[in-house]
Amino acid sequence: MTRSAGAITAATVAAGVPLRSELVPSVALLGLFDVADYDALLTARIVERELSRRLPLARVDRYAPLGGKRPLALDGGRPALTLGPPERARKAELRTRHDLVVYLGNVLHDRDGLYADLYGVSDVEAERLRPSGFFVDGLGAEPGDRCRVAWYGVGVPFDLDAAAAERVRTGLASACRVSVRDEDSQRRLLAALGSEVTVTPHPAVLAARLFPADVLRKRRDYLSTMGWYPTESAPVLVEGGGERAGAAAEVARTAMELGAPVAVVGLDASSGQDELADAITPLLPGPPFRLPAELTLEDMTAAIAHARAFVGASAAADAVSRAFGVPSKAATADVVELQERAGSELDAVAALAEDAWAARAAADGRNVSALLRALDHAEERYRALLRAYEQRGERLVVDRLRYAEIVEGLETAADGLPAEFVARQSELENQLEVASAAEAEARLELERARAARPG
Amino acid sequence: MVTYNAVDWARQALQALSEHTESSYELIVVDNASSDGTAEMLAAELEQATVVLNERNRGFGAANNQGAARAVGRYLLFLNDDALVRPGWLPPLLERIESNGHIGAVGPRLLNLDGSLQISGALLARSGSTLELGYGEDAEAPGYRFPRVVDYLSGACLLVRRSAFDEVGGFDPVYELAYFEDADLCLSLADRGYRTLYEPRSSVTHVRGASPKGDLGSTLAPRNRSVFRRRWSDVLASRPPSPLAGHGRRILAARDAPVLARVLVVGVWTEPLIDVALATRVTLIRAPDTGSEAERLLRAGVEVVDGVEDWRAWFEQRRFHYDAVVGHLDAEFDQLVRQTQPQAVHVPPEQADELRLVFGG
Repeated sequence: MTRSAGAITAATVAAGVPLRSELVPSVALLGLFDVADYDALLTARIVERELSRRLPLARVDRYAPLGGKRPLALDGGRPALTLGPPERARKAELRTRHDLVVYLGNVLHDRDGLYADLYGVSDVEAERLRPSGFFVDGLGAEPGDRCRVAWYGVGVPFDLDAAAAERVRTGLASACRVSVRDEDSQRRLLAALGSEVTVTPHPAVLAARLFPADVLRKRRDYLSTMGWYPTESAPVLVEGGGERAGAAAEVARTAMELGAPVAVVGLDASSGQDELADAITPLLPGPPFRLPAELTLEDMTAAIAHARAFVGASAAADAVSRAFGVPSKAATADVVELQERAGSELDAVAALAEDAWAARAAADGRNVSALLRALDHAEERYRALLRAYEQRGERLVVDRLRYAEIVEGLETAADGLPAEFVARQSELENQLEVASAAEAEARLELERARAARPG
Repeated sequence: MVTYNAVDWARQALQALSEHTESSYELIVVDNASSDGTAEMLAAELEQATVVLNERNRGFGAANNQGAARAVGRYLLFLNDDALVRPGWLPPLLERIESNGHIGAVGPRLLNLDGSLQISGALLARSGSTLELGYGEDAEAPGYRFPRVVDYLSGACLLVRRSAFDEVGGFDPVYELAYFEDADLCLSLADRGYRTLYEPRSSVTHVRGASPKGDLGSTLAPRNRSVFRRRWSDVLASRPPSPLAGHGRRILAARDAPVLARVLVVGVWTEPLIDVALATRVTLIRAPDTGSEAERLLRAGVEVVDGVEDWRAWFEQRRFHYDAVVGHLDAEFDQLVRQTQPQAVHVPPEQADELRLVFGG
């Protein structure tokens, strides 16, 4: 299909169609989206996209304890909304505002003191924020609530003592759906709840849907241009910090077996990847490539996607490597099967939002449901018409341009030059410009090839 | 801001930025291994800024990507080290980009040091060659004072929606040190449904050439044009042939190529069209009152044409240009329209509202 660069697209105009925000399904994602952590931010981005694909009219908002007070470069200036302390009124507000609230990430624990370090705030402030008041206790429930709550692919990073287990039992009692990210979390929840919850694959196995290949290629080239990532051959990419220095020998051996360079990346602010790189350096014939801390989600994903092999402990990065067919040590299950399972779990989560929204719409005396269906239908037709209109418009622009050239040629012919000659002259002038540019490109390549010639 | 061996201009650019910017912003400066004391100047004179010092010149696009990766804002403003912002430069750009989520980038009117116009949006020819619209002309001429959708804007001063920037992968380092990375970025944005808008209410003086490029221009510019043309050949196929310079009709065709609908309004302005002025090309001619009303229309994106002596030449330059002509035409104009715009539908002013609906306002 011809690209209409700069042209007004159907999406552009469709965006102008007013959708009353209170009519559409509304989803809230709650997690640590205000921390520079690849896993948390990538998860939010993918879940947002997947829910939006399933519920095209839905509005998806992110919330995090400090939210907008901590915008992150890693996530490209998309600050989450501020959750604040877990006050009853705030919880009621969230339940009223959204059809579905989804908890994401490694958040099912009651050690609020850890947030002091994570956010760089005092213990007093961490206690005031008390994120576990949301993440563990949930939103509570009142009679008549239509808001559904789900914990999706969450992690339970620590064993739960009796008090924590009681809180988890109470909090998750209001959940419509609970799934965890790994077997350890499953075991801990089983101990607390007395019933088994599903382990769902990390949503990052769907990363290839979020990042188009051309974007990842650009970011890989950028990393290479900066000298942070190899240009000539794909590296063994190692993720982690000093705690993984023990894996240095294995990484070095893998890289030498593959004949591949090594690149080291940290995926969160506290990675300390230099320590890992330092441990690997003496074991390699040359220094490893070091990716800096100042990267975006796209950069990190590009580094993983273009690697020859991936070694690391991050569940998200491991899932991304699987999504792009990059071998990793942990990779055992079939990626297609993982993607199908991840998709099924997201289908189920999206269905919760749809059900809650449908119930809300049905209870609305204004017959909102029928109105939205009609609006949806009208929009679909509108988009189809616009697409047809754009295609016609593009063709007309080209045709008119050609006609104007012909008329100009004929007018010039009246000055004594044959129209064919004028047209041919114009065509040749263009060809000359194209050829001279191609020549410059070839000359530069040749110069570089000669400069790089061995010996 | 990427700096490279233009310490005096960089100092002035930073000074102008500080003096004329009222909105809150974070300042990130990436120095591409300058050898003229730029790094020392940045260390000594900048407060509350992030300064990144590269060990060697990584090129304009990659260095801007570096800066962007450190930014936490919703919008990124790429500013050359020889671009001197003028009073009131930022609010119109912000206002414009915030007005519609599908605007991916906005740029100001760039002026030469003598106050003449440097560029009011760049034009693309079929060969991939470019033309700076209005270079050296009177910057206050009405023809350069209405906002419009453009193929691309100079990276010397460009406000970009951060999410859109990330969505397209930022500047492509395939263009190496310089040339065509801004054009590629804007076409990449357009490819994903984001428009690039020229906003003349904002003005920035661009010294240009302050950073020495050696013989880069003669080697890298044509090489990058070749890369650019190959990548965007399907878009360029709908642009007029080269050369553009000296060919008024081709310049107009290139200027309006990014919009698919064009409306010519003759005599009396029809207000419903104000809603589609930015999404289409609306040209108003022969309006009886061109005072404050003309200013209002220009600001909304209407091309207001006044003082034409030879209407026949004007129409011939726009042959086959318009989709619709609105207005009651006298015999002379009726003939001109019939001869030069035979493809256009004639719409009485009282039915102009239908055009607004057709063109998606």
